Amino acid sequence: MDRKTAIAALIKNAKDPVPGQKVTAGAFRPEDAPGVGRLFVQVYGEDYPVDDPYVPELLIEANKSGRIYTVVARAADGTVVGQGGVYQSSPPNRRMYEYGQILVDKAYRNTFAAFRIHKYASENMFGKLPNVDAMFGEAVCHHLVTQKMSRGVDFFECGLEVGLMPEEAYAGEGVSGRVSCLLHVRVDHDRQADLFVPECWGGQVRRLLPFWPLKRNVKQGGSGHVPAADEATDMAVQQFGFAGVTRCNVAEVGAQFAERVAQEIRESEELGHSLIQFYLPCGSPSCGYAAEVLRQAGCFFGGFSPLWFGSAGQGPDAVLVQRLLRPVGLAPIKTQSDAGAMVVRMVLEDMERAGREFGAPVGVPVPQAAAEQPESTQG
Amino acid sequence: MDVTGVDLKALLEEVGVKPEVARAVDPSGPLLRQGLDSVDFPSFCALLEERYGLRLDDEAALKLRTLNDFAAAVNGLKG
Repeated sequence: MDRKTAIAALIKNAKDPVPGQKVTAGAFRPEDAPGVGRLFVQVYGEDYPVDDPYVPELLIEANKSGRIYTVVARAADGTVVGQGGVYQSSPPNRRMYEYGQILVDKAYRNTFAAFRIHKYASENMFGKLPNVDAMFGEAVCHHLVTQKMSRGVDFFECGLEVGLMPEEAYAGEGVSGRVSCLLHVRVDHDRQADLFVPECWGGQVRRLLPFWPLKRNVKQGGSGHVPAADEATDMAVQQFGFAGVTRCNVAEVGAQFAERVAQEIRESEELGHSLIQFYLPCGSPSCGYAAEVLRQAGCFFGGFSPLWFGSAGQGPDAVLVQRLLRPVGLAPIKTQSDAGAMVVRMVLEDMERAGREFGAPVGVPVPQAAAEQPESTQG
Repeated sequence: MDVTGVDLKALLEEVGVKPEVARAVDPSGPLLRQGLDSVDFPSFCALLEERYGLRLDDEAALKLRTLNDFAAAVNGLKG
C-alpha cells in the first residue's frame, strides 16, 4: 500500500476512542499499526515527513526488523490512544537511535498516557535493546516537559540546537519565535577510540565529556592539520524544508571541505532556511581544521554527541557546529537542570561571539504574551 | 499504620522535585500550586504505586490535589 492510499484509508476508518478508559502501555503489536497511523493523522494531518507511521505494512516491518521500536498506550478496549518510539533517524551510526515521537490522542491528553509510554520505554527498552549502543533526544525548550521526562534515565544534555523548529510547529501553545531544542544523549555500549578535540571549541567539549564514562584517547585537534589533497570530503546533506533546517553529516573531512561548506551555506540561504548544522567527526585529526573553517564561516559551537558516527567515517563522536542563516526571533529557552543551563549558556555565548567577530546572524529573544505557556504532551 | 501527608512529603524529592520546593510543600495545599508540575504529578503517583504496592486509577489520581488527599487514597487502597 502506498502512502496516499494508506492515509485515505486511515481517514476513512478513523474512529475516535471512547474517553475515560483505563490506559496501559506496552510494546507494539502488528494489530496496533492502524491505530498508530490514526494518531499521526490526528496530530500531523498528512504532513509527517516519514511514511512508516501511515503505512501499516511499513510500520510492522520496521518494528520487526528493529529499525523502530514503537511503544503504544492502549485503552481498556484495545484502542491505541498514544505512542512513542525508539528509532533510527539522522545519525550515520545505525546503532544510535532517537527517542521521542510521543503522541497522545486529544481525548487522552489529561491522563497519564504520555508518562506511561515513557515509563514503559525507560524500563523495558533503555539499555536493553540488542542493536542500540546509544540514544539521543531533542527536547524543546519553550517548556520543560520533555526535559523533565529525560531526567533520571541517563540522558545528558550536551548541545543546544538554536532556533531548530518554526513556531508554527507548536501552534496552539501560544509560543512566539523559533523553538530551540536541547540535545541529550545516553550511552549504553562504548569502545576505545580516538577523540580529537577541536582547538577552537576545546573548552566546551572538555566540559561535556565527563557526563558519560567514555573510553577515549583524548588528543588535541589542531587547526593546522589540513587534510591531504587526495582525501575526499564525505558530507551527507539532509534538508528539512518544513523546519527550514539543513543538516550536514561530515563523515570524512577531506580536501575542498571549505568549498563544500561555502556551497552548502549558500544553497541553504537560497532555500530560505534559517539554520544549518554540521556534525564533524572527532576521530579525524583534521577535526580541528574543519572546526576552524566553520568558525571562520560564522558558525558557532552547538554541542558534542558521543557515538553520532559510530563506526561510520571518522567517528565515533561528533561536534555539532551551527550557523544561523538570517536573524531569527527565539522563543524562550527554559532549562530544568544545571547542566542544561550550562550548555545553553556556552552555546549562546559562542553565537554572540560569531556575530561580533564575523557579522554572522544571531537569534534574539521574542517577547511572549503574558499568559503562562501550556505544557504539551507531544515530545 | 496509616500514611500521612507529612510522610508523603519526604517522597517528593525522589521524583526529582527540587529540595527547596519539596521542603516548602504544605500537605493540605494543592501540589500544582506549590511548584509541582504535570511531569512530577504522574511520577509521584508511580512512586506511590511502587512503594505501597497498589494501583492508582488515572482518573481518580487526577482528582487528588494535596498530599493529604494522596495519603487518604493510599490508606483507602491499602485497606
